[in-house]
Amino acid sequence: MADLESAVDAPVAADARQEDPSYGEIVWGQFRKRRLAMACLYGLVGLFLLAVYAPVLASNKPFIWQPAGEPVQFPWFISLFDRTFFENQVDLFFNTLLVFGTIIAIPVAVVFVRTRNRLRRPRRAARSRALVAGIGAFLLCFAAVQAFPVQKQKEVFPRIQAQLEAAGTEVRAVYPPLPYSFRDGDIDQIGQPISRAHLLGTDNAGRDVLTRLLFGTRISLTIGVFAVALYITLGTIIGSIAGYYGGRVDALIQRIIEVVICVPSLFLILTVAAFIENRSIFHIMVIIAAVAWTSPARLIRAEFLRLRNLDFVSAARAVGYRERTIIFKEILPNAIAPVLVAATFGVARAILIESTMSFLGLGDITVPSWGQILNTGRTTSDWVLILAPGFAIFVTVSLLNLVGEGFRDALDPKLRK
Amino acid sequence: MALLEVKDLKTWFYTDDGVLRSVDGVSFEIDRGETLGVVGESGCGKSVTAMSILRLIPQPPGRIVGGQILFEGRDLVTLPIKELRKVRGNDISVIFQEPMTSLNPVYTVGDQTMEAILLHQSVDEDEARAIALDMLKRVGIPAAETRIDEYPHQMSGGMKQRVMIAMALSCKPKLLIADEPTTALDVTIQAQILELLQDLQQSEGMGIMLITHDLGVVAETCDRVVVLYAGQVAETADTGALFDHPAHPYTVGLLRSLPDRAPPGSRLYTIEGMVPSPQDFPTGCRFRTRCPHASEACAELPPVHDLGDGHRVWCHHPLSREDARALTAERTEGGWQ
Amino acid sequence: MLQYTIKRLLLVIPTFFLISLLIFVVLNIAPGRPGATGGAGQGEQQNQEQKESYRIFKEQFNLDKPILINTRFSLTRDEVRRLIEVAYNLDGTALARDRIKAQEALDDYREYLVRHLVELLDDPDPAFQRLVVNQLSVSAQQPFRNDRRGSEERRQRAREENQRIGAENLAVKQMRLDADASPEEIAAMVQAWKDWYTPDKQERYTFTGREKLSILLLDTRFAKYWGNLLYLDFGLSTVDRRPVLPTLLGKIRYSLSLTTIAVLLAYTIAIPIGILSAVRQGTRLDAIVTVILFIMFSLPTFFTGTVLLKLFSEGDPFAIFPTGDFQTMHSDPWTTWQTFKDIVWHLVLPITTYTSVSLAALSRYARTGVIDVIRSDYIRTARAKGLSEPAVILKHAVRNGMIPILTLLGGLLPTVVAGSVVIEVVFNIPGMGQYIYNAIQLRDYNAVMAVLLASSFLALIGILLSDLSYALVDPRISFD
Repeated sequence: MADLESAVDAPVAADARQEDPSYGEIVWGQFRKRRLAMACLYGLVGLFLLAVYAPVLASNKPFIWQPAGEPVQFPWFISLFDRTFFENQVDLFFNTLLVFGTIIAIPVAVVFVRTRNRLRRPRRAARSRALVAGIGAFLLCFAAVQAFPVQKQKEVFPRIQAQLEAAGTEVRAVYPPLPYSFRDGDIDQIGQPISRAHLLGTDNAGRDVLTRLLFGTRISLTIGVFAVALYITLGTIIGSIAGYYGGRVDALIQRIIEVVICVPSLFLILTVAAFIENRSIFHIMVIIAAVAWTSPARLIRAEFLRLRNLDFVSAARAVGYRERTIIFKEILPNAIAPVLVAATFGVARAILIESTMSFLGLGDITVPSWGQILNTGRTTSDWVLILAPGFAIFVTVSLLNLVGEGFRDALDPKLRK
Repeated sequence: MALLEVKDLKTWFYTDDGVLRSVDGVSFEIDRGETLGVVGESGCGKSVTAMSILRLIPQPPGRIVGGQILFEGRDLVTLPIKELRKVRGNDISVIFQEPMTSLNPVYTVGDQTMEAILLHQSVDEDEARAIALDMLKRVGIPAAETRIDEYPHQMSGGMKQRVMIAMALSCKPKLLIADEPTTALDVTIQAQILELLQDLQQSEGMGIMLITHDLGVVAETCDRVVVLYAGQVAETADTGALFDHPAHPYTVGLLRSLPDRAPPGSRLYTIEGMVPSPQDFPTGCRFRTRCPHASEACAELPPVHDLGDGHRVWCHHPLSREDARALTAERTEGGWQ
Repeated sequence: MLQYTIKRLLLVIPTFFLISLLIFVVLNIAPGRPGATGGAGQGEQQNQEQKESYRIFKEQFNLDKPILINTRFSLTRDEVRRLIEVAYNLDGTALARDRIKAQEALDDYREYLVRHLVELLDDPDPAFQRLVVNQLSVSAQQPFRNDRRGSEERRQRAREENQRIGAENLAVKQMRLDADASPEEIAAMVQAWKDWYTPDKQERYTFTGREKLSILLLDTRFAKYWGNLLYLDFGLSTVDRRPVLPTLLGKIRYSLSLTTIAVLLAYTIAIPIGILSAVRQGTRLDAIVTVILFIMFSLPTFFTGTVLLKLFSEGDPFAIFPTGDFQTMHSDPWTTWQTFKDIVWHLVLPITTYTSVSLAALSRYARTGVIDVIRSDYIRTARAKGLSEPAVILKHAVRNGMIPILTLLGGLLPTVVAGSVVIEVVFNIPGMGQYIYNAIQLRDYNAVMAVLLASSFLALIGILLSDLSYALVDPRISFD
């Protein structure tokens, strides 16, 4: 098989090896040289994995549950898609990632590893095919999870176990390392200090702080990524239109941007958030996006104004491409780089904004957001509740900022030696 | 004693990608009143050599790791920075390649010209202004009285380069280093500027180190030429001798690729391959990867051949006078057939 | 330059108008009712007095008006009839939600209903007639004039007018029927209303084309708000029913004294640090400074503030500074010096927090600014002239490198005046930041609006100032 492949590749090899790496590959090559930025990227990946696999580490549902004489049950697995336990869409999304994402990731990873030594063009094609297929499969799974809601358990297993054992029934139960719920507290455990059972103690509702921090990762990452994706998309579209058409359209959009920029964003975000009843983290994402779209719009506009008079655009126009094709296929890929750098910093900023909102009590109060934990720490004056979430925010924001700086430097031709 | 004597200069850059030996053992000298041309393709170390003389190499990553730069007998490499500053702008001046960006945009032309005068001469501000104005007039800036108060962005490229020259000459230096002073300018202005430099040299008697990749400019203005290749000297000779009978295959290649030597309609001669990048300079003779005469011996460092009258060449297979003439002339004759 | 300045100043006006429009629409379409917490929406369970007071409340804050465009003059009699039917659930099918909506519409439409209600008095059903009569006794009440502004004479006239309106309203208010009114009483009251509807009233409640146009655009919340704004009247606070502006002006000094000191401090520390670390780029000193600044940059303000507060004032472990507020409450007279010392003592922690956060960002700016410049060709030119290193840096690098960071100052204008919500909340400083925070939570609509408008205006001016200062320090930029 391997021989056959190389035999097929051989004739192309001569000129394919001369093929220039794509812009993305050059930037990636530059980025890889920056050790600190690379380390931070690995850190971010680790954080993401923590968010995905949080229930494996912390849940009050046992993996295996078998009171003596009864059949084996798997409450943990069922709870992953249980609407009464994981009320939030964010958690459902991450749980889908945890189960189906893991399954889908394996074949995709296999494709990536096997194409490692192939030539550039076929490798790129195979990898993007695999990625698209993987993402598609995942979205299907998520849709299925949405379509078939599970609503089941209200049992608090550790307590049932204690009762059963007190009654003399043997119970075989295997729990995650942190057998606590991020949501439901234990009234007997309020304000516990650091101990072996609770590595970071408990809060004023008797909830394990470490568990809440862990699940807070999900919230922060979701807010950051989705809010930024939302406003980058919005800003990119508006900015492209302004930059490409120029003239009156540009003037109008410029005026709108000017107006939005002048409004104090934090005040506005807080106000709108406070006026929404039952706000969820989706509201918060939308609010952040509605205020922040102006900066990518300006960036893209500036890039477009620079690029639209360059030769390759004139060439595309001369060939007779449609306007839409020119904007999105010709100019945008060349203008997007600075926006992606800004996006990385944007994720950090969105996380900061969300935690500020939660800190001020204007976030989504149903989710274990870091800012909210810190606010609890401020009101109860508990050092652990201040330092632990503060540290979590600090680490996440630092990682993002350092990766962003790495990308910016990698894109900067002046620094390329 | 020569005005400036550069001996075995080595300027290396320490980057993430490894050590770049941009200048690796360059030697030459300049006498008073003499114009020395330094030629070579882009990236051969011309500018780095020039910047090394006044220690203007960005440091880090650059460093002068060896050699001597003797100016009137003093070694500029080891001279304390305080002493060196008295040389900079006073005894040795530089005209940089990029007139567009070499002037500070937030100060007027006059301010920037007066700066060096005030620093090196004991004059007050009015006198300095008078000197600056005089200098600006001499380099041919029209309406200098008003332009002295203008900002660089209000001037054209040619005017800016004249201002640079005025700045460089304002303290009547003994040596002027001109790093491609005309590259950024169009042809008519090029000629004017070169003429201006020659005039000023005659009246002031200074030495000029003219860095260029334009052999035409060299033929017209220089007394002697140093040919650099990949950070090393390939050949050095009087201008006449070099153009008449170059001994290094690289010099021959350069001369043969001159467009004005090729008859209309013929293909231009090119040297095969590209200048190697500083990370992977070949061992031994650095030109051997592109040299038509390369042999196994070229893997060793080339010996120096002294051909008399200061004509020296670093090569294992230097061309004889007859071969060189034949080769540089061949093109012309071939074209006529 | 002058021409440009004037042009930009003129442009401030339409931009500010658009900003106010944006803020106004956002605040008004945001779900949730401004001001009232539990005032409206309980339908019949609500007693008459509560309803009445909420109606007056809405009237006072123009909440009974549509936001941007008023088309209420085009109501028809049948629409009004339908509203009454739904509001009082006459056919027994209306949903509770629709009933509340209809009831509110009846409350809000006021004078636009009168003409149609009078026509509806002819309905054969006495029960319906009774409802119409009672609606009339509400809708025919006239709004009061604003007597808070203008010359003394003008205010006097407005007050007299209001007295007359009050008397008329009182009369109208009493022309209503109880639920157990007999058919005769109803007939009498219907007749009384018909008599009330004299030709001059007819004229008042029917609208000509021109009146309709002015109603369309001017009898709206936005127009009324702007009408007040032109007199610098930001309306009343829904919380303490006092004008917003004086309260706001009273808060400014707290925020201003905190932020000016912090910003000045941040600049004076940040610029030298930035320059130093740029000049020593790549050395160990630069590395250490960069790491420290980076940490400060990535720490959220609320975290720094909370930690400082806990460390140094809550006695865990130190109790050096007061736990918040701007100054100590005291009864015995203090000397100026004592007061000053007291305020400074209170401000140490908040200023430290504020400074540390902005310091990090500013020095990073300063560092990159100078580094960008240090690599440029004209710095090499300056060195080649023989200038000493400090002269090269201070004369040639700093002036160019500081242009972006100095022009940032203009952008700070709104923050300086409006303060920082987080710091003022954490340290309990009664400045603008805390004021808007409380106002937001109490849905004190006019107060929020005022703060948002004021800081947007300052932002506009700030942008203008930074553009102009840019032109002053950088000769490359000219606006002619």
